[in-house]
Amino acid sequence: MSPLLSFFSKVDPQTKPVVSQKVALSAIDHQMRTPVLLFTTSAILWLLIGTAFAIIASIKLHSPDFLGNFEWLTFGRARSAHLNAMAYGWANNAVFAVGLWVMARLCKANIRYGTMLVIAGSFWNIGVTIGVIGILTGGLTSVEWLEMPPYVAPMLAFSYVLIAVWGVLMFRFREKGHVYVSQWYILGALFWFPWLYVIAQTMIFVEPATGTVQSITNWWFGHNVLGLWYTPMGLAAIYYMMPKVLGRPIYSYYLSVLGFWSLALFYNWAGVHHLIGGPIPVWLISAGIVASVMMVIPVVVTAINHHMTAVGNARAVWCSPTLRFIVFGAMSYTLASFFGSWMALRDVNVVTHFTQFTVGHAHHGVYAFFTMTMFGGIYFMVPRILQREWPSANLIRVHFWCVSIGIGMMLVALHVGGWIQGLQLNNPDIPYTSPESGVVTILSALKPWLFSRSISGVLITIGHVAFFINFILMVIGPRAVRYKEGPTLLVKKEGEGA
Amino acid sequence: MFEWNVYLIIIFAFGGLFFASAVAALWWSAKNGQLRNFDQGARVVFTDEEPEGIHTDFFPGEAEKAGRKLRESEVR
Repeated sequence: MSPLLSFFSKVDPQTKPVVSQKVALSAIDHQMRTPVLLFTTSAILWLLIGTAFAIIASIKLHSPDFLGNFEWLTFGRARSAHLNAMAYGWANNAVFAVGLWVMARLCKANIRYGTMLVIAGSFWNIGVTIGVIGILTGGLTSVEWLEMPPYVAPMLAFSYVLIAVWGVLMFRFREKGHVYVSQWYILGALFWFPWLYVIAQTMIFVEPATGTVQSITNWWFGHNVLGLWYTPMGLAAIYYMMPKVLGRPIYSYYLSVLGFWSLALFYNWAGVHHLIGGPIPVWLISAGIVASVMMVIPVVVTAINHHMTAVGNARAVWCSPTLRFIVFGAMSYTLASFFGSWMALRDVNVVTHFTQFTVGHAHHGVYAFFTMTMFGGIYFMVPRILQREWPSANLIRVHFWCVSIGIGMMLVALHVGGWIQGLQLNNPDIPYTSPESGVVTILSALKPWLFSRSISGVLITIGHVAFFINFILMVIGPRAVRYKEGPTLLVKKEGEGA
Repeated sequence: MFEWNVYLIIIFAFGGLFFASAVAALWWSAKNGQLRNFDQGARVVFTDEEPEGIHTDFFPGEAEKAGRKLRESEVR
């Protein structure tokens, strides 16, 4: 049989599942080393690039003259470069690294077609680089979350399909037995993202739909990228790392399964709440609001489960770099999701829409929940992949404190400032410009909050640099091997002592 | 190319397919026995190399100290 036919016969659902022999975790870690290292390194580099654009965009909001002579760094371009570098550069590479590694470990089978991941990862990063350069040089689109020029879409879609096929193949060749909830989340996300991306690209750029249908497609995509791509991958990491590190199973496995299926069945409809007040049918918006409020069910279920698993283990959580970040992420997931459901109500949305409150909410979900969870995942994963320990505990502490205080400060600034901004925008008694000074009233009231956001951005940048230095020292520095002791690295190579 | 309501129907068709795919996966999962014996299912994350009952992550170089503190707090 030709290799191509053999490949398709293996993925054909009609054929009997090929069940592999159970493989040791250390062997899987070793086999996943090259692709995971490629994705993690790329993710961290994109994190630094995205952070630099974030700082520039943030400063420009309260000091518009900052870097005002560079046309490629106008606010619109810097902000879009930040979003795309973070979403497709940092977040997706982190998902590919952590998500696929967790999937491989849970499948407990030999890694096949590992080269496919390396090829796909290389093309993915080339595609994102071209896309971000396209944004900076003025080729950006006006579609939120899809600002990269449409010509990079085929390359990204191709790379992604290779990665998703690899994930599905891994699942197919898994050890026979129970499918853990993290596998469900990862499998679902791998299946949903290409669907979302291809449909959105087709209906907005390739064969553009007319009128407001483009906006509906845009927000169906934009919101589902968060809810059906980053969220399941983040939750998969939490459901894997939390019991692993604590050494005890999840509090209620039943609830975790219920949480997955309610997300899979209902989340898809929620995105339309971004268009409340827009010129689209009211019943469509109402359906979006109902779906958004229904999301309280998986959120409550997940929150109870995370809380009850960690409760009574505060010291264990504090002693583990992984769990410090993961628990921070899990708590933020609960809070951000409740805020999301609340913001979808018409009476609330009339205040928060078009304000910094929404920007704060986006950072709540993507940073305080997703990014913090991925940091935790990377802290757990990389020592096992490299058989090395993190070189500096202090750099981990600097990372944790800077980013947690930084994001906390940013969330307060944007939520409070945004709420005040919304109330003022809705108040017809507030003049557009102040009669005394001539300044734009609402914007000048918002300025201190925007300034606080820039300060919080500096803190977050320090945290990211500490993370980068620790990672690089770990990969290239001899000191990283020094701490090969204790339970952090349970799996020892032969002859290496305890 | 089409009227806007045709596009809306297309979007709904895809929304429906999304929903149907999730329902199909749930049906497979029930038929395959995945929704039974949750107690055992929750323990598949543990293996001989990373067994249940052992903490597997500490700050580098601080495992011994942290382990001692954890044991002390468990005794209390």
